[in-house]
Amino acid sequence: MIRLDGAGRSFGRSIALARVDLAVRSGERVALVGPSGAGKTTLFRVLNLSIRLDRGSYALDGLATAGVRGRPLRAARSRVATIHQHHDVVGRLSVLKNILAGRLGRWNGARAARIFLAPPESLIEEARAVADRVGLRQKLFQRTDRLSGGERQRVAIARAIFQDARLILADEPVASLDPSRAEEILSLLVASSKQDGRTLIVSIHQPALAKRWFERVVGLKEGLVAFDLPAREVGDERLSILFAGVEDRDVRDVRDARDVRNTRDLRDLEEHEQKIARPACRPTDV
Amino acid sequence: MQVGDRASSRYIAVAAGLAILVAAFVGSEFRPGALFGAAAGERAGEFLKSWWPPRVDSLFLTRIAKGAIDTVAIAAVGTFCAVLVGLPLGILGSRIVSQGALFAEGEARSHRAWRAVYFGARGIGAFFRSIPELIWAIVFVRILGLGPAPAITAFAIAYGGMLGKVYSEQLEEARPAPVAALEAAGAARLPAFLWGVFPQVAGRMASYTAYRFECAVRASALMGFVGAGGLGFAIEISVQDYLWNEVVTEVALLVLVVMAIETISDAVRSWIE
Repeated sequence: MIRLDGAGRSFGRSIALARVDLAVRSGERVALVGPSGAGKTTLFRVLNLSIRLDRGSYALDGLATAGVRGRPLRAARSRVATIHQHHDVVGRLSVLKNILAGRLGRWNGARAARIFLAPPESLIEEARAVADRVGLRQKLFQRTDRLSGGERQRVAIARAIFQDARLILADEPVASLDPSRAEEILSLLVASSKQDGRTLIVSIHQPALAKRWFERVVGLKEGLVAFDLPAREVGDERLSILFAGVEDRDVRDVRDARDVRNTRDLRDLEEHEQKIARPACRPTDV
Repeated sequence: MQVGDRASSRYIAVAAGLAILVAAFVGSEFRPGALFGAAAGERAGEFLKSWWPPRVDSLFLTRIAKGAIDTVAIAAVGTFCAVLVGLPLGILGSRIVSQGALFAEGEARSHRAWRAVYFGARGIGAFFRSIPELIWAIVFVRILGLGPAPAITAFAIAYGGMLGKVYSEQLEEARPAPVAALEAAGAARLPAFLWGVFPQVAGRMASYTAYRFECAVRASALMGFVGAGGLGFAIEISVQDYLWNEVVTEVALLVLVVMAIETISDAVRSWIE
């Protein structure tokens, strides 16, 4: 399904991915664990073809992605669905339209415009079935920014399911949830992967959840794969090494992000890193 | 920069502003005292007397009511045409489309052709709005003759330029992350724009357009003076014949119309937002 060989990516002077080798088979479910700043989000942005590698190679479904652009690039992107950490749904649109937006990669401009103005009944039915799966059936015609944070996350999940992609990436889907909600979301993701035979990669802070829900756990630290093991073989010792020195790392992320803020592609990264950092580390206006 | 520096530079800016204001007062020879002199009072009294009684016969009222309807209609059609001009100017003149501020890596962007389109759209917009609508109307009266056509064309151009500038700024305020998410799922530029950018800003754009329509109603009355018809034209004729009792009624009607439009547009805007 995917294959990364010696994958590396830097932003300015800060190295987000050092050298990652990773192969995931079709239908596999993988948890990606590691402290914030380990490169998980960057790895996802590489996998969904939002950014390119500086070094190494990435093959998606046997397609070497280097240099792919235009229509083939969009076709490749439409085969990867991403549930972003901050959901990134369009607040002003209805739940229905946000779900439908998952298929934008398959529609040409005219079709996208037509469906925007008047979605056909068949698509509404399909979207309703997906909304049903995530428990949003009653909210289909509500504006998304009127929903709670948890419901917006379900919209993002529904959009990813509706996209009908071979690979689903979920970036920290349970980071800000209480334990019972976290279990709920993970079971939703795992069930949709099992039901439709989709490959699933989820990045996750809590190692215990990773071990419970996934058969394979990949530990990422400072842009490198620290371990790649079946879940039952992941011991506490490995995890404590993985998370050692996390606090220093957080502070450094903010500084690194600031160093390179003139690079446009980094705006998101910076925003993201600042959100993770505790208030005390936030750059102040000196 | 030190905090102290910032404060002192602020004092300098305020002092410079005051100096410019004083110089402007002297230069413009504006003497507020003249408004309250004895001669001015006498003249004002006579002028006020000539207003009374206002003309309110039904023949006249029907005529100016029709003029008022023309004025609002010219403003409405003019604003609509301005939107048709302003939308492409705003979209092409915002960095969103032309320079791909929102677009993920790996997509073609910052191409020379797009830059040319961007600066072209900004330049045309700046030129359109730098000339007041009244001047455009005078120009188009020469070309198109008397009637509503020159006023509508003037609005399309002058207000189209203003709308283009504001639209482009509003488009650039859209949050990029949701749009990037659509692109990451394979959406092309135009669909990502329609589904991701447009819904975020459509309300604000509509609200500003409603405000522009308000301005257009006021300006449309003024355009009557240069031959564009409507209520302004009626006022112009009455003024030329020194029929101040007609002017009073006409101005009162104008005030009513403008207030009504403002009320409606406020209601529409608060409903949108």
